[in-house]
Amino acid sequence: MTIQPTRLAALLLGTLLLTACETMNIAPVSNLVGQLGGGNTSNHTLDVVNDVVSGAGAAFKDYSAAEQHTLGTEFSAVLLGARPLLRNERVQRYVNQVGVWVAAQADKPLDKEGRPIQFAWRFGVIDTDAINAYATPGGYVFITSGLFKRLESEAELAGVLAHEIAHVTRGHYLAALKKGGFAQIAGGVVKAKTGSGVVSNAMVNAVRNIYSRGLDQSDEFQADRLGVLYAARAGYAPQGLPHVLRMYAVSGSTSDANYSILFSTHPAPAERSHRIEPIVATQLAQADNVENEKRFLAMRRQLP
Amino acid sequence: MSVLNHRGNTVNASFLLNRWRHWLCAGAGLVLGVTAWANTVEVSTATTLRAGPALDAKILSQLEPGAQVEHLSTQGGWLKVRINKREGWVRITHVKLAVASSTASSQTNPLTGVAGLFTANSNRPTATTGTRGLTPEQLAQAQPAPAEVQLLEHYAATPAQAQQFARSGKLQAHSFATPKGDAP
Repeated sequence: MTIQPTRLAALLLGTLLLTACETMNIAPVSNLVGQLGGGNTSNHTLDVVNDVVSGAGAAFKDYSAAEQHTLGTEFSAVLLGARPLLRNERVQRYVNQVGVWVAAQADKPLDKEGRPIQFAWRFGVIDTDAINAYATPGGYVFITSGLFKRLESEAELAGVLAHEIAHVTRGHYLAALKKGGFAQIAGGVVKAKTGSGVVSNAMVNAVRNIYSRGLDQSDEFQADRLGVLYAARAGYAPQGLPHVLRMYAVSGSTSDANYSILFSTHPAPAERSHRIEPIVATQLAQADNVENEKRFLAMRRQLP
Repeated sequence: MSVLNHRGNTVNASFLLNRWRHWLCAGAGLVLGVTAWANTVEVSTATTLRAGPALDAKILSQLEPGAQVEHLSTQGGWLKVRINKREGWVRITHVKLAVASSTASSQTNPLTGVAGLFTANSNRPTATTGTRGLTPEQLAQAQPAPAEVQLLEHYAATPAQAQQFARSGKLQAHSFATPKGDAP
C-alpha cells in the first residue's frame, strides 16, 4: 500500500537527477547566488540580446589597463581565499612559461584611450581536487591541480590556458561585472586604488557571485574558438582544448563535487567540443602538431 | 522512504543516512590534522561546546539551534569551532549539513567536502576525492587572501623566458587569422 508512493518518490527523484544532468545542474548555483545577493535575475535571452547590442567590448573600454589590473588582484585574492596556490615552485613556473608564451599570441585589445593593453600575465595552479580553470580581469589565470592531473600533454594545458586568456583579452569578466550590476562597486575599487590588500565586502560578494554564476555562455563559446586559435598560433597542436572537453564529457559527472562549479557555469562539454572540432579540422588544419608530452608529464608527476 | 542509489535500485533512506554518517566520520578522520577550514556552520540541535573532542571533556558553554560557529578543523566525529572568540569542540552530528536538496551537486558535504558517497564515480577513493575541493559552498565563504596573490609574483615568467621555453619545446609562432566573427 505504501509501495506505490515510494516508487513514485524514487521515480521523481531519479527524474530530477537526470534532469539536473541534462541542464548542467544550474539550480544549486542559482540558489547560492540568491543567498549571496546582488546580481540580476533577468531573462537570459534578453541578456544575450543586450550583449549583442552593447557587446563585451563596451564593458572592456570602461577600464584602463591599470584599473583592470587592480580588479584582477581583488578577484584573485577572493578566489585564492577559497583554496590556496599549490606549493610547488617548479610546477608554478612551468605553467607561467606556457601561459606567457600562449598569451603573447593573443590579440592585443585597446584600452579606453585606444592604446594596446600590455597585460602583466600571472598564472597559478590552485591546490584543489576540483576540476576547473579561472581568469580575472587584467591577466590573472588559474588552473586547478585537479584539472592539471587529468591533462595528458602541454598542448592540452596550452588549450585550457588559451581559453582563459581569451576571457581576459575579450573583457568577459568585465562584462560579467557590468551585467551583474557590480559596475559601481568595481568603479569604487579602481578609484580607491587601495593596493593595501584590503578588499571591500561588496567587492568580495561581487567576485564570489561572478565565479558562482559564471560568464555568459556565448562568451564561453567564444573563448573556446579563440582558445584553439591562440594555441595554434603558439605552435601547439590545437586539438588540446577539444581533447580536454572530451575528457570532461566522458569522465565528468554532475554528481561529482569536483566538477560542480565547472559544469554549472559552462555549456555542456560535448556541445563545446562539437562546436570547435570543425574549426580545428578546417581553419587550423595547417597548425603544427607539437604536444610536448614528455616535459608535461614530468611536471604532472610533481603534483601531490 | 526510499531513494535511488547509483545503480538505480531503491534503498532505504535511514540505511543510507547511517552509512553516510559512517563514511562522514571516516572521511573526517582521514583529514585529521591535515586541513583547516574557516567556514561558518550552523548548529542544528541544542548541544554543548566542549574543551576537547570527547563526551567527557569539560563543557565550555551551551549552544542553541541556529547558532553560527566558525569551523576550524575536524577530528573523528567532532568539529573544532570558534564562537564568540572562544574555541571548543562540537559533535559533527549537531550541525546542519547541506544535503537537504535532492540535486546532485548538493550531495557534497561542505564540512568535509566528501562527495559522491553513494552516487556515481565509485571507481575512485571517495573519502579523499573532495577533501581538497573547491565547491560552490567554499566559494561562497571565501575570504580574500592577498598574500597568495603576492606569491604569484614569485613564479612569474618574463616574455624572454617564455620565448626561451618555447624554443626548447620546439614551438614556433604562427599567424593564423582571427575569424571575422571574433574580431576584437
